[in-house]
Amino acid sequence: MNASDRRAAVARRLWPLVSLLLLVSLTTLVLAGGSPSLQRVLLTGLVDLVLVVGRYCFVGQSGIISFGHAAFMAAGAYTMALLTIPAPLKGSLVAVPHTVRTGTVSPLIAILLAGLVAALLAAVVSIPLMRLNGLSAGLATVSLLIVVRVVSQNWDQLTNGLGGLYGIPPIADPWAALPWALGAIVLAFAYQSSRFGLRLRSSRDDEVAARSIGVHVKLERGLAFVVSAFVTGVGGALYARSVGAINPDSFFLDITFVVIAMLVVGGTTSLAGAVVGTLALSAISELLRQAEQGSLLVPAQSGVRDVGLAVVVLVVLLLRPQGLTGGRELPFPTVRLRRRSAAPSPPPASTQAPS
Amino acid sequence: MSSVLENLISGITSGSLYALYALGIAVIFGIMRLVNFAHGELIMSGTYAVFLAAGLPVPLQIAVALAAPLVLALGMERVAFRPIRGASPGTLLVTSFALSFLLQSLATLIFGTLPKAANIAPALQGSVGLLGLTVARLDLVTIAVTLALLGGVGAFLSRTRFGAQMRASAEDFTMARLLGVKADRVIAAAFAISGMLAGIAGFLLMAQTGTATPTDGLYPLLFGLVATVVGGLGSLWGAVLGGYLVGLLSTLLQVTLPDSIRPYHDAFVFGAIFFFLVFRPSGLVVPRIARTRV
Repeated sequence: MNASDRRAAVARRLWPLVSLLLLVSLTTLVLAGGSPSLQRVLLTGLVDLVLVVGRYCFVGQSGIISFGHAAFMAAGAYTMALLTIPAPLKGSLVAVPHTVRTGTVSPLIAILLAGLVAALLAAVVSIPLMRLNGLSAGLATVSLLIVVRVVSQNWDQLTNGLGGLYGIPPIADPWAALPWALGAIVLAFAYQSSRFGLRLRSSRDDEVAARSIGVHVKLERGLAFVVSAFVTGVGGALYARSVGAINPDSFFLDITFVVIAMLVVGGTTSLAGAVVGTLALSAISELLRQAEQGSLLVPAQSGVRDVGLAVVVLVVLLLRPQGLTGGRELPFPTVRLRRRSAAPSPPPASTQAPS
Repeated sequence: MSSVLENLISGITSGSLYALYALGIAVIFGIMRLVNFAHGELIMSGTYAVFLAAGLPVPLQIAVALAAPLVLALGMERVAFRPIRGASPGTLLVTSFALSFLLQSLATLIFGTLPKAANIAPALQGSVGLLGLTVARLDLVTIAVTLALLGGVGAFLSRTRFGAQMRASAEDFTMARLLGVKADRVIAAAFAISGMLAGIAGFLLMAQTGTATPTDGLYPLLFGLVATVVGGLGSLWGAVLGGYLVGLLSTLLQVTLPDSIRPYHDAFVFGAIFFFLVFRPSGLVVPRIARTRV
């Protein structure tokens, strides 16, 4: 193999990552110049992207649908709030130890710590959870969601209960969220390309066969759960910053549905699916919101968007159960060059009509 | 002593409801490998049906409460689940999750988020003295109705030809079909039973709370789900057993937790279930189908 072949091989291997980074960066570049409301949509979309990629790390690789990730999001968001709300306000909201009450840390440190807290929670939970078989584990994550919700509703000293926490220094600029979204994609890609990702996917495709070749399924699943929780915790921290105020309802079924819907619409088994699904559903969701406000035919009721989103997800599931990307990464452009003479850049699989 | 017995009865009451929820979920899972998240919305449709039928005599109310979820269950099978029958459990699960979200959003759209109150079956309210204990009438009715339903479903499954076909399908669907069991009919029957159980549960729930809200299905679904997992996914009687166990555990915690941490009640229930699963990952009853054959 000569040098240029090697370079081509590396390019081919990294293409799924590079194409997604480009796709997300270009989308940000195009939309960031828009109106404030469009910037808002973009910011929300980027935060959602971190959450979806986070969930993908576990769900996509292990094949187990998790309903409990909003718990990690909550852990990240509350950590973020406790670390960054200005001291005087924090003192009036919560009754935490002196050092936490009076000190604040920089957003960067706070976001990373938020991810670590979520990862720690996941590490503890995964020990019993991964003893269960796939489907039961997915259902058992529901109990994690409930436990964290009940605790955040009632632990007034730490979470200010139903009132929630507010005064988190907000970000309004989508560019501030972009590096985290790109970072999440890089981390997810690194994980799925590693031997750990490969082992876990082997157990997803055939658990018995994977075990027979020495894959420690519980351990691999637990590891993915922790990585996934870390990214989700970071996403929760970004969420807290993007909205400025959080309460226990922010981390329950609505966000769970939105994130799972984005992942499923894109295709659970590929990173491209996570990204494309987030972009597609963010756009549809925004269109529905505008339709709900602008059209006289539909009364201004918040339910219309939810109904529309659910219908979109159901239609995709019925017509294209593998998601828009078919559960594959974006194909390398040269392949397209040979098949069709035109060579437009990235999203070929993603824009295909459902078949 | 009498308070212990009274608490026991209230535990059996919640257990009965949980068993109804769990059985409704398990009867479909057994045949289709589908964990139906929209089961909660079937129950919710029952509560709204009772609300809409509030002026009618009680038997008619019950008939309406049964009919609405029944029709909805058969409809969702036809529209959403039949086209993807045989897909992976993950796909089925997400589809039912989306369906559940859709129905809940629709209910919000139609009825609004505020609870709709109706005075249901006044005859069931109040309490009676029984062997020196004070017991809510509704509790007795709930326990009795559940036992009757469980008996009915049991008899149907064990005594009728159709029931035998359903059990065969739950055991090995492909084999059952090879032997001439009609897939569409058996699955439709499972959804009908599930819808009927949801309707009764909805009626009992409405009689208990007196209000219908779009989120009525949430807690029944969650408790039904954990009860099926505790009982052992795929086993009908495991689901019933799991329901009663979770109900008794919930009441036990309600009574024994000190006041200061009682708000965390649900967290303790779900936490306890979590740790139960550590020691018995496959649940109480492990059906033959749940084991991996190599």
